[in-house]
Amino acid sequence: MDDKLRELAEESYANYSSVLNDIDRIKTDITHVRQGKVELSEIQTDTERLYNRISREGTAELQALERINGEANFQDIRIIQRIVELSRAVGRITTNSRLGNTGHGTGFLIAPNLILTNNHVLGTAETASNSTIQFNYELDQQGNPNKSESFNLLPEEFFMTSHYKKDTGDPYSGLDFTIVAVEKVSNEGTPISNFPVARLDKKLGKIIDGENCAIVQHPKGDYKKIVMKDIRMLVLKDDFLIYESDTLPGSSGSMVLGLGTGEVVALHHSAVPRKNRHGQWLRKDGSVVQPGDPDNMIDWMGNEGIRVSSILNMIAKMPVSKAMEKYKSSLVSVLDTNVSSTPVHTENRTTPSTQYAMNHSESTTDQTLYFEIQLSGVKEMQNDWKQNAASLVPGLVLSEPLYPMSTEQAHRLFYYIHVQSDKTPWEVAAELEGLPQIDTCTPDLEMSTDIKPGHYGRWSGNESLESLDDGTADWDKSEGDFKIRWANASLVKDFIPKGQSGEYRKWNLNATNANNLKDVKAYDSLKANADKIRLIQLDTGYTDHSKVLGGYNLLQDEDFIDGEDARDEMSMGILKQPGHGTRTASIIMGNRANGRIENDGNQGVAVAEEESLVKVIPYRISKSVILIGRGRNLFNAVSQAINANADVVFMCMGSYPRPMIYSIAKTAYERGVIWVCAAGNMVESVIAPAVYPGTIAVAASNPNNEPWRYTSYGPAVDITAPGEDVYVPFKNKKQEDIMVFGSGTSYATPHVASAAALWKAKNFKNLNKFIEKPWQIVELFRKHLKESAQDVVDNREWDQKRFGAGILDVTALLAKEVTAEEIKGLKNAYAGKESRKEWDLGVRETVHFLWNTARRKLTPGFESEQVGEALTERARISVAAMTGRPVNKVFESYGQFDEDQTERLLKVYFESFN
Amino acid sequence: MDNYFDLHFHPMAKNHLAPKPKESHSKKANAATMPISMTKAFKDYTDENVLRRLESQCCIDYLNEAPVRYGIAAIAAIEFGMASSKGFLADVLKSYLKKPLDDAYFDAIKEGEVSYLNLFLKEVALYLKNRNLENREPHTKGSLNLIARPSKNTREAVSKALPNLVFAIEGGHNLCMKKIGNALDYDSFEGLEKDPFFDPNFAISEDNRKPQEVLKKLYKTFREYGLDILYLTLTHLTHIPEQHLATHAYGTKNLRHPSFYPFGNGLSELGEEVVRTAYKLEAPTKKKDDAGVLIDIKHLSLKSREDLYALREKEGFGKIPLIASHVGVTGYSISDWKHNLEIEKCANHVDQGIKTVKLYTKPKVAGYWGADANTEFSFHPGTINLMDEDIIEIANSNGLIGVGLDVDILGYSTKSKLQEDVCEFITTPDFIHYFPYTSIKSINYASVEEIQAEESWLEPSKKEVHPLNFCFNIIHIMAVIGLKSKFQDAPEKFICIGSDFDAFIEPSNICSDSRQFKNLKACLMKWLPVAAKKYQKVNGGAKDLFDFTKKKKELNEVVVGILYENGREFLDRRGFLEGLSEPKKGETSTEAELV
Repeated sequence: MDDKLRELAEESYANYSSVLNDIDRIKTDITHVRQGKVELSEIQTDTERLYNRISREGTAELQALERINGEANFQDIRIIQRIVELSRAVGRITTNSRLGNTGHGTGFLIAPNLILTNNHVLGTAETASNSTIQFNYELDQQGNPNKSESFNLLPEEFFMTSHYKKDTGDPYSGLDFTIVAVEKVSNEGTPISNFPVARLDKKLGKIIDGENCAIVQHPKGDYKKIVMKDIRMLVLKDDFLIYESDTLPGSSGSMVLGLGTGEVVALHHSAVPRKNRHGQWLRKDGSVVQPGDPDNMIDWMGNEGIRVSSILNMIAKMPVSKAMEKYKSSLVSVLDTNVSSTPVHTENRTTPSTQYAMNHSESTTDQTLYFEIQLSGVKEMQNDWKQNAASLVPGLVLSEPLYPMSTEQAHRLFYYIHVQSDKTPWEVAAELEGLPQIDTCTPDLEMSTDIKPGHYGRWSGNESLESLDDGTADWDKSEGDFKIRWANASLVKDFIPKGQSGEYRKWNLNATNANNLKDVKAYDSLKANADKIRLIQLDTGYTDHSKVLGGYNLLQDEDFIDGEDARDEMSMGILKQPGHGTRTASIIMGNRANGRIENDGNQGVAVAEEESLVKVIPYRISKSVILIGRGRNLFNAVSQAINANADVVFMCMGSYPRPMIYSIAKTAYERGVIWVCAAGNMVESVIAPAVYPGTIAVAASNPNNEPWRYTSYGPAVDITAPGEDVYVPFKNKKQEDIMVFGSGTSYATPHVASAAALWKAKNFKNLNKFIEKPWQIVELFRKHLKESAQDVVDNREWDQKRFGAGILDVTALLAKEVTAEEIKGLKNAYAGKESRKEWDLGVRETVHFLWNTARRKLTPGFESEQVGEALTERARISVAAMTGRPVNKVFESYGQFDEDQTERLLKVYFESFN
Repeated sequence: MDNYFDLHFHPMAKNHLAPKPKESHSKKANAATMPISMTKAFKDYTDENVLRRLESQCCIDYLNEAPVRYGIAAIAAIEFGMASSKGFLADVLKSYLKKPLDDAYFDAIKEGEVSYLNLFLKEVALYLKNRNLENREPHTKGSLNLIARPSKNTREAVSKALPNLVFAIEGGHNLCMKKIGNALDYDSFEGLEKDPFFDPNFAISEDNRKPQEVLKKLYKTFREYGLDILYLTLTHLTHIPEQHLATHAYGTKNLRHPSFYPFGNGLSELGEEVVRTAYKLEAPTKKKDDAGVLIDIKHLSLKSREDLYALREKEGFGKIPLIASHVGVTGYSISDWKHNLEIEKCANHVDQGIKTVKLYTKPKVAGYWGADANTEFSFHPGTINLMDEDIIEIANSNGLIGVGLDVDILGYSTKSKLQEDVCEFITTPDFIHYFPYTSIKSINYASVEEIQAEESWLEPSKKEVHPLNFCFNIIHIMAVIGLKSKFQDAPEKFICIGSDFDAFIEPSNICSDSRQFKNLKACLMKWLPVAAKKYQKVNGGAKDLFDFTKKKKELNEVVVGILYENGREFLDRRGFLEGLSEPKKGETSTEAELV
């Protein structure tokens, strides 16, 4: 017997003993009735109840009394018929607990699609969502099992419960009942309307003391049974009804009927054990009950049910969520109006919804949360997770491996799960990390990127190129500003005075020696193989801007957000940066627009002879450029890129590092995919994925061959390419295609991505011949890239500690030859980093919080935004440990955000991934 | 007595997967020639339809009984996706009873302990153990005879008493030296048993582990030992991420694992390299229209097949015969197929992060038959089956089509169609390739419920096809070759049987194991004429298209051709029988007309 039931029995015992005197009296009276000494109606001392009971008979008082008192063995046949009919509303509930074992209870229909049972049977919505109710689970007249019908429970549609324990803090507790919605169609396809509804009657007088009752139930989950012998109602105690029974305890949630009226009088919930003076439970033989004794050894002296009228009063009082209001009101009205018990036919849903309620969080307080988990390295634990995940995690909706096709040690540990819970993701993660099967568990939440909306600050934060209201720009102002600002810049100073717009608009090509692709020595082999190169862009998708028309390979585009094709929705809202993907792609394959753009200029790095040698395959991973959705989208996109044999992947946005993305970046590296990433904007450390060892990190430079002021920097940077004031496609207020100057490591990145694609095309044959391990391709590219970089520009030594090897030199890079010896000497970027320890969950939480808050702070328009998050205790402790200071409230309110502390903490965290 | 030919079967597969007998008994080599045994308890507790899959066999004893005189023994190492799939295999493996599958073997695959090449060589070793050797030391009496094309090495004569087998490699994954499911680690091939006359370690190319090099080495080693390979099937049922050669066609609904979904967009560069290598391996005939190893187009996605044809055309391999080893037909040409897309039923499908398009095509009607001609027979429209273009390509290359006996690919009748969800999955890029004007965006996304409901495909169900379904497939191939290719006189010459026995297929009643070829012959004799007539009623065609069905003698010739002669001649043309004494047959070869 489990603790819950024991607890209930104790309480019932207390109720029972408090009315012991009454019970004794009634019991004596019952004996007298049986002996014919008194009339049944004389037992009831409460005359009002007796009166109510009499009025139910609907005849004159005398006749009625006669009927009530009449021979107990004479029962009107219609009552039995009614009981039989009502019993069809009773079903067997099967629950699946978190430990994997199943439990059974009883429940019955009280409205066309609601069932009533005990709270201790279905305590929470999660339990309910994993449970079913089965009708017709009974033997037919021949003793053969009937065809039963199972219905799923739908707690997300309606769920109302009153805890079995009276809690003074909760006015709605103590009645031990649960009402939950059921599926309209059974798993076998039968509508619920085929089963009658046991209407709950609020009016009193359904039964009087000493009158017989019947319990319809599934004892211990067995076939449906009815107990009719020797059961008499004894007495009422507050909300409870105590009845005599010396047999087995009734099944929780059973229907208790008044035998005289055929009405539901109570919801059975517990049996009352006999105890000795010391409060110990007794066996039937009088000895003390020992742990492990079966129920039928215990001496049960009575049973207790919850009065229907009390339940009904509670239903009326109890508040429910808005979505459930209509159920409740229908329930209350059905119950109140005393309409006939014929069920209201509602339309049958053709597709029964399963318990996999994805994204339906609005209907319950529970929401679906997403987590990436890393399993324990112990094989038994992994196997146990594979088989028993559902029982280990309450509310688990889905658990799937992130690398279903891999047997690699590092891969098989990664799982992705969906959990329904009303707790915060970090609380759930902490609980999950408590399981021995799970090493780390990180919530997969939306992440801000390093990019803020608007064509962020060229000169300062205020002078933004882009009108924030509608995401458009103005060419006139842009080019004017450019000419003034860079009048003395080394790369454009000769062209600006002469008005050679064609030259200064493509200063970035001049800076990277990417002007004369046709003159490259191996141009022929480069051109012949270029169409074999798969260059994938992870960004916001594509647009039809004239500059990039024809530069995309749209046969292979994919969308990882919501399933549209990868077209950029040109949404102009403040949070979206329309065409970010278009602008970055234009640096690879932007072509002359043949007069469709006024003031045209600049072209893609991979464009030669008016034709883009390499086409860009757009993968859409993000709706807006400042918020990456869940990390799973990015994971899937890279995964797909690997499976599609991508050669080069580039990504011009980033966020904070996390285990799942670290892992997929490593995997891409091991598969020989060159992943070129932006180092980051306005962040003091290189962001993820650029910070990971396997990726190529790109910082930004300006027309004066200097690093851009706001570029991220650090030892992780491999190379620098033009990123400040690069001439890129845009829209003006009239929604015409224009070009303007824009800044960001976003624009530096595609220079290097083009170079990677061209390098791979040019060396196609030799790479195939000499490469033994795919990662050597990435490492060789990195080597060539760094060796060919311009490390002295304008007679200045390049700051290689912070901005990589130098500025990209495409011509020099393509002049490099691949040799077998060189490949042998390459070192795997992950060598020696096999055992990277994961940060504590509290730190991961802090980083998520700090990053998102820091990003918001940089984002105009977010000023008024309320920071609605608070750190868990574990995160606070982590912060204290990491900063060496007591936890300071400054981390939690936007107004007093401590930037120094934040940057320091983020930097330590970020660089640990390098 | 009739002889038979099978272009694609796995005579040792089930014995290879069965739990190994104890060491002391393993000397009894002939154990591997008998059908695998299943305990009474296992049979009692296993679904009948699963048992059918396990019991349909082509073990050596059965081959002798038929007799199958010549056959191509395909070897397909069990893939990671299959071993890890939900469905009947998992159900059998989960059972605690004594079962006909070796747990340890499947575990090694699931855990990625070995490579596919390793598994492949182990299965080869089982054949060698049972091999009859007369011309080579040590002389042994075996239960099967392995024949090869002429070379400077000793080889065995064609046996009159034993099945004469040639190898085929089903799935490029067999050439992979990486540990299964592992892109980084290579198999060390420890513990590969040396056979007195075959050291598998010679077949392992240590210096260059790319699949094309493995194929080269394997071919060379095989030839040295008097063994031979007829063809290589580039893909099998699942995606092999560690060595992607080509997009495969969605193949089975009875097993479920993410790798069963197709990936990619046709032939990969690596796949092209493997094709080139196979075609450049020298064939003993030294003819321009022959190659060391032929390519089998079965299991390739439609796009992969088209890529393959383009490569052959471009690089001068166009005359090398193509094989379609165990196939059915869609009954459509590619453009017909596109027109019969049921776009309103199609859905974007994301399962476990894998994006594909769920594709519905209206099955093509083959003919009506039955009381009042009210039963509709149709072809299976899945792109794993041949389009008319494929058939023409094969005929024009002087290739060979083995019609399969797996009910899953042979089509439907009115009754069976209702039970089945006639859909398949293709990759998004492939979809865009074939339907460029259909916006992917306009297609709905499959709901979670829909994806969950697909689990029901795993339920074993008994599907039966009528002999007519099988005959319609043959008739359609003949009609296409007769109408659209240059070989109009003897279209049946390109057709043989590729049973795919022992590959856990759902066998048809017409011929449920290798002993039943006689029954198959009777079926063909009876139903081919009916199929021809009913097919023409729906699909038209010249009056004399199927003239052979009118005379019993001619019909018999065609049927014998399909069941034996065509395959034997194909081997003969390639030199497999050259200079080997072989059992004389009544009829003379009609090869001269063809070449």
